[in-house]
Parts: sequence; C-alpha cells; structure tokens
Amino acid sequence: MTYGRVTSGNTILWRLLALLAALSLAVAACGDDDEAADESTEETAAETDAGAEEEATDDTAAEESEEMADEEAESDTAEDAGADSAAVVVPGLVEEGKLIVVTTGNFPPFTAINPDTGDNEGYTIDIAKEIAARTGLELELPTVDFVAELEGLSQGLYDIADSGIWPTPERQESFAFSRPMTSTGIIAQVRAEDADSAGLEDLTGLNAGGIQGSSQEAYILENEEALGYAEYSGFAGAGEALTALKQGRVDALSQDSLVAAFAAANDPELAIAGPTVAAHPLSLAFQLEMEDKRDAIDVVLNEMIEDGTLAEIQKTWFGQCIPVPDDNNAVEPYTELPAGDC
Amino acid sequence: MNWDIVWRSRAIFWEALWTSIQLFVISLVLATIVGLIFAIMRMSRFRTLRWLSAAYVWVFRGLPALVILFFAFFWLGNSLGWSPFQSAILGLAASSGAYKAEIIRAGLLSVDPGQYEASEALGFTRAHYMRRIVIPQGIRVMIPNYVSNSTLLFKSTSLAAVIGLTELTGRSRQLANSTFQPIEILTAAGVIYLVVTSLMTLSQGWFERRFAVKV
Repeated sequence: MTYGRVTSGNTILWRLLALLAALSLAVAACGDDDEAADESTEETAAETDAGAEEEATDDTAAEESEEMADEEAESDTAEDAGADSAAVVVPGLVEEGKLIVVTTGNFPPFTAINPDTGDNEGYTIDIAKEIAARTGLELELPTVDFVAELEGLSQGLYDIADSGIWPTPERQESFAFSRPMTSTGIIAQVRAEDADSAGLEDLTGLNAGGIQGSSQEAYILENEEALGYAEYSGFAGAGEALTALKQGRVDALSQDSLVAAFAAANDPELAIAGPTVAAHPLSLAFQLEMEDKRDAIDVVLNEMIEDGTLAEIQKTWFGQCIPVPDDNNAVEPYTELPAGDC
Repeated sequence: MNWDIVWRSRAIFWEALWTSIQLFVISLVLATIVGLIFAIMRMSRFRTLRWLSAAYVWVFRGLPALVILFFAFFWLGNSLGWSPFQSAILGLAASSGAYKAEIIRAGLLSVDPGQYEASEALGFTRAHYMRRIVIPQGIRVMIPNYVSNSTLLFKSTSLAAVIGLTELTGRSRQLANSTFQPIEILTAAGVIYLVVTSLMTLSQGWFERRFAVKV
C-alpha cells in the first residue's frame, strides 16, 4: 500500500487546475458543434421521451395510455364520420405518430394535477387533447419545471410547450409561437376582505408578492416606483404564494388574471382587486426552427376557434369565454377581466 | 387545514414514492461501486490512477448535485439519448460516488499500516491482506458515514424533479400548486421522507452489530 504518497494533495490539486484550464480551452475550441449535436438530438430525443414515459411513473403512464387509447378510438370514429380536420399533417414530430406536449402540471387552471386521479388537467391540456384528436396523433403529456420545459423544448425533446406561455418579444427570439389560444392579463390577488382595494393601481405601503421568475413578478419589479409597495417577496409557486397571502405575510399578489380568478372562485378567503393590467396573449411554444409544425398546429387552432370548441374549453376552465387576439403582437384585447359571452 | 387532500391523493404519493425509491436504490448501488473503484484507484501505486481518482472526487464533490443532474440530462443524456430516469441515475450516482469514494478510502486508511508488515511476515498476499484484514476492519469505520451519506442521497432524489421525473418532491410540488394547499401536501411528503430515512437509520444499527468485533 502506498499510503504515504496520497498526502501530496496540494501538488495534485494544482496539476488538476492546470488540466481543467487546458480542458476548457479545448472545449471552447470545439464549441461550434451545435449543428452536429442537433442532428443527433432528432434521433435520440424520441428514445429519451419514450423512456421517460415508461420509467417515470408506471401506473400513471399506464392510465394515460389507456386514456389515449380511448381518445384514439374517439378520433377514429370522428374520422369515419368524415371530420375535415384529419387532413392536417403535422411535420417534424419528435416521434412518429406522437404529439409530445410538455407542461408544468402546477399552474391551474391551465395545467394541474387532479389530486384524486393524478391526471394532468386544465385549459392547455384540453387544447392539447383536442389537437391530438384532430390530427390523429397519440398524445404524450410529460411534466417538468418551467425552466426545464423551455430548455427541453429548445433541445428538441418535446413537440410543444403548452403551460400558458406569454410570447414576449424576448421569447419570440428564442421560440416559434402559435397563434394566441387565449388572452389574459395581470391582476392583484388579495384576501376576500380587501376585495375593494385599488389592486395594481396603488400598492402604497403594502407587502407585495408573486411567483419567482414569472412575468407577473417581472411586471411588479419593473414598476416598483409607480406602485409604491413596501416590500416584495417572490414565492416558489402559486400554492406557497396564496398561502402566504392568506396568512397575512403579504397583502397582494401580482397574478395572472385567469389564475387569480380561478383561485378566487375556488377559495372563499381569496378575491381579486383593481384593474387588469398588461393584457397579453398566451400561445403554444415550438422550437425556433419548427415553423412548419407551428403552422400546422395553427390550422387546427383556427378550426377550433371557428367551430366554437375553444370557447367551450374556455367556459369549462375559466367559467366564461374570453376574446382571443389574432396575432401575438396585437394590441391589448381588454383591460379588465371580461364578462359574459364572446 | 384540510388534511382530506392528503388522503385523496394517497395513490399519487405512493406512485411518487416508488419512483423515489427506484432512483435511490439503483443510484446507491452504482455510487457504491463507483466509490469503491475510485477509492482503490486513489490508493494505487500508479500516479495516473491516483490523479484520475482525485480529479473525479474534486469535480463531483465540488459541484452541486442539481447542476450535475442538469448536465446529465441536457448535455450528456441528450447526446446519448438517455431518458430522464437514466440521466437522473447517472447524475445521482456520479455525485454520491465522489462522497462514497472518500468514505471508503477513509475506512481503508483507518487500518494501521503496521498490520501490513505483520501480514507480510505471516506470508499473506496483498489481496489476501486486503480481504481478510483491511476490509473487515475498515467497514466498521465506514458504516456511520456510509449510512448518513446514503440518507442524503435519498433526499437528493428530490432534485430529479427538475429534469421531469415525478418523484416524491416533484409530484408534491405539483400537487401543492394544483390544489393551493402546500402546507398539507408538503407535510405529508415530509412525513414519508422521515419514515424512509428512519428505516435507514435503523439499518445502521443492524449493520454495526453485523460487523462488530465478536470477542
């Protein structure tokens, strides 16, 4: 045994540092291999996701595939009945015959886990199911964190990211977006007793909160001076943020209007207050170079809007139908939460 | 407080716990093998092997497991076509293996080198010396650290949520945000983690008795 020689740790560490420096130079030198890497992504991503479904949670996967089988059956009958949209062919799929739609499963009423069944449910999920049915594709619904959702999308692991994404100008540089599938805005979520407060018009002296990394957080941080709130706290998710609000740790949350309305409708302790600001569309996101795939899905979305399917899905999850702008960069479709029929 | 939600979601918790346990068991076995190999390399008489081992421990003990998992999935896993589950196993094993290597090395080093001379005088071969003298004594020193580190590994499986595995923590976070009841859901997840880690702590006593010096 050479116990004595192990102790020359310092020299070893210095040599390792030198080695690492040399390695990082080498990596930098061959950093332009992205295209080659992308090619292999195309092939491997399919396997990756197939594996994910098999491995992740056996039972859920089984349940989901049962459901999908049901749905396929439905779509088959629809085709037999001569449904016209079966003509849409979706190009550039990650895996042949499958539509892999990634969501977060943590953003009700857009995507949320049903506590009784474990199924992923919500507005964007119903849209994904409808698209899969109309294009005759088998639907896969992996769930990941929002950061990993966008990262995985740009790496070609998923066909569509569909958790209610705001196609901001910055994001439009990195992703291709579908036509809008709803519009929403930002509103103040408050405790029921504060329902008459000014909301995002005036937060003077109040403690504000939001969800870390959300566009609603970005809004409130950018407008700190105008809003005049005392302190801002960012929470990991809607569950934590709403609990902190109910406990009085914060007085108002900067929330997505539709999420806030949903929370208020389902919890008597919560309300919304003040005007909706920064109205904007939400769209489905695609890998940047996948415009063909996006265009095919746009055809289906337009059909869903024309035949009233989208409005029906909106009524299911939002309790009302909401005007949808035609273009991601269109002017704000509303400044207050709209009421009544479209 | 509405604890009803925990009972309603019990099937989801079981499923998620099963994913966590699979992640844990497979990556623990791999980490132990990796740790053993690198511990022995670190004590080799060949300089290159010692360097390789030191480099591995330095990098993987120095990086947060979360970062390793991200690399394992989006970089290596993506090039090799690995599923999130396979990438998570790789990341967790690589991270935990670095600690295991040091724990195993510390155990082996705890045996007085004087015993080598004694065994040589008795005509033991080197392999024989390792198997009959060093390992039986070293293992006793390793057990407490090994079990603590394995407990840590079990809790680290929660990091796999970031690459899309719906293990116990990831699933609980989704449920907490889906139901707006984080306190109830996360308390339930905490109790489940505590039950599992308590079983692991109990196993430590069993292992210590199993390898105790019998006089």
